[in-house]
Amino acid sequence: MDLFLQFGYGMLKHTEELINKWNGGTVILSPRDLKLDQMKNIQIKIFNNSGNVLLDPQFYLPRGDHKNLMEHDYWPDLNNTDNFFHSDKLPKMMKKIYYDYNLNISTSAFILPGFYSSAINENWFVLHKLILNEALKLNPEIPVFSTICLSSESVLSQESVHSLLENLETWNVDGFYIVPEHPRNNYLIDNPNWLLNLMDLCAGLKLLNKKVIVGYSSHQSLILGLAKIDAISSGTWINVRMFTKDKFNGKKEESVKKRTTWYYCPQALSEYQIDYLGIAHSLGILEKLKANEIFDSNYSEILFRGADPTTVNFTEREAFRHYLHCLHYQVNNVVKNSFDSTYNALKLSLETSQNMTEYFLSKGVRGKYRDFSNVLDSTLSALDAFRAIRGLVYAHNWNSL
Amino acid sequence: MLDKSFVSKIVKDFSDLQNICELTSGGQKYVFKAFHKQYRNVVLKIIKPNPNVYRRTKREIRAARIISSKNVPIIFESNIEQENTEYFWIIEEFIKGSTLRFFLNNNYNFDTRKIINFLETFLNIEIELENKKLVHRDIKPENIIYNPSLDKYWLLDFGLARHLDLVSITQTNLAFALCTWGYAASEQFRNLKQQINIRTDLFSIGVVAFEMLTGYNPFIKDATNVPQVIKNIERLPIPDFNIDGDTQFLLSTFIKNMADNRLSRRPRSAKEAYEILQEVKNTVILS
Repeated sequence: MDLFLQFGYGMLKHTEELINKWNGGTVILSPRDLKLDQMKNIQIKIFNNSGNVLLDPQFYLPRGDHKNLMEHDYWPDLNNTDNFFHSDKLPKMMKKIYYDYNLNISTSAFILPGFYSSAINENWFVLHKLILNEALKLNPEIPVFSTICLSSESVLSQESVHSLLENLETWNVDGFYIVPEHPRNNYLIDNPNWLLNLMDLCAGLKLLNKKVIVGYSSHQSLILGLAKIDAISSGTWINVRMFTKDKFNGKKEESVKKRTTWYYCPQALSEYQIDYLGIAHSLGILEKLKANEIFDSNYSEILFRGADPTTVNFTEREAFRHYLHCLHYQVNNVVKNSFDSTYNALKLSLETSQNMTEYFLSKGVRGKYRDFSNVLDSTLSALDAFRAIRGLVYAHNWNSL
Repeated sequence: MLDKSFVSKIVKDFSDLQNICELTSGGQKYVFKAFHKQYRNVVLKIIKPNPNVYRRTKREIRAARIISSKNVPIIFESNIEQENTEYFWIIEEFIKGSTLRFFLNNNYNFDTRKIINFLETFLNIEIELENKKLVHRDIKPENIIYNPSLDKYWLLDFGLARHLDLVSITQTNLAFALCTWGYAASEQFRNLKQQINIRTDLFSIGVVAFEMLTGYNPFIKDATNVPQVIKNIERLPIPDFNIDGDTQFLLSTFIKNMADNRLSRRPRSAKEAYEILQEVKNTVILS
């Protein structure tokens, strides 16, 4: 499994740094945060570091009125009285996205526009099929990925997930870019059904021999390694680690919240504010929070040199890079050579997190809403349920997925 | 009971058959047992001309003729391609045994070894069907013959079989397709033709295996009408159950996967199911 970088606000330098450090990698560019010429410039830099780019057209809310998105050439004017999907607007939009954007910036795949819908129903299928058909008329020379943007209600419904799977069986695409909305806009997900259904969906698509990328993800998505998906994408701010539709709605765009720097402890799968690292320092247990050497992250070294972490210059910049670098290692190593060994490794990692977070909590070191102890039960439950439901067939097919 | 004149007519019409005696009759079909010099014990089926029955019988014969399996009765002769005939007839291999339904009704004990044999037999039939692009679509205890002294199973009645490359003869606009409730997967009874393939049969095989082990069909049990059966199939997974010697619970999981109404969770092909069964078999301790 790979980690792709989900481009968001202020991500340019981080992208350059990390792609360089990793000797390659894939970045999913964001029209919401970049103009076409900026994308072109970034693509050149990424290519120079042996990386690849993808473009997420972010057509999640076609009437979202997001100024930056609407300024893009491909964005249609939906205010006229006509039928977008049965007029020449759709073919025009698809041509622009493909030729002027994807081919222009040499993306490694053509991610099709897909919109958010509270329910997956016949209309959803028909309209997305129209998008796909227009894309295929262009005879794309790069792999085609359909965007499947799902409301939290849809992910929570096993019926919707399987109706989707049964319908997607006949889609002539190379892969799917899954964008799932989190329940109740929670960063970490404490609903085992949501997690299980997402794993189930990904597994169903993998068994169709399709590539699967899950966008807007965090370290909780490591469990998707058991579904052996191809990549998750993640980024700096929370709004690129979880999909929220408001991010793409000009009228409802999130106000800038007070910025806080978080340190990611990869063994605990938890993030801690620097003030809590100060508590750990004063109790003499700070070293236990240090990322294991195997992560090879020098971005957080300054926190563990002996000084009180609250007094050192550990900024957002280091925090983001540390998070993504550690996650990169975790993602790259999550899939083992068999289904059972992947399951065992994930289970061990979750149990380690459980032990560590319990210990830290007992000492007053709390990760607040980013403390993995909040979601351990749901994550373990999804992992075990997935094994029970899909394990036999998945284990048999592991090497061919 | 057929009237004597009809039986006399049959005896006269089929002079190469001896010892003709009635087995079953009902609706448009009469079934006799007989002896043929060349084919030995045979079954003679007489079908009254009727467009629906005729089409299905024709399909059954065509399907059965292209399958080469020792667990499907051989069709020796028929006049099904003839037009303007008084009745259609088929002479096929006589199978010694009783329907699986008979054994289930008599609480026959299907132990783990017999269940594995059943699954292997049926998955081998399905591999053959898969290669010929056929789906049986009516696997149920009534269409399975079992011979306990040989521990051998046969699959009968290809009347609902569908060739996946040919145009379906089931009406597309029907809300519900022809099926046997409790054994048909929802993609079949909901007439979702694009989704029907060999996995549809795998579902039925899983349900039959469950019934052989537990003595009941989980979707029919306690259901008093068709909507309840539909609800059970679409909403309730089959319950957990234990199998002797299945120390890692893999055989029961395998059967549950086969009988999972979620199409995507079943093995993707009969070949894949057979391969998984071989892996599972290695974990089962047979007494």
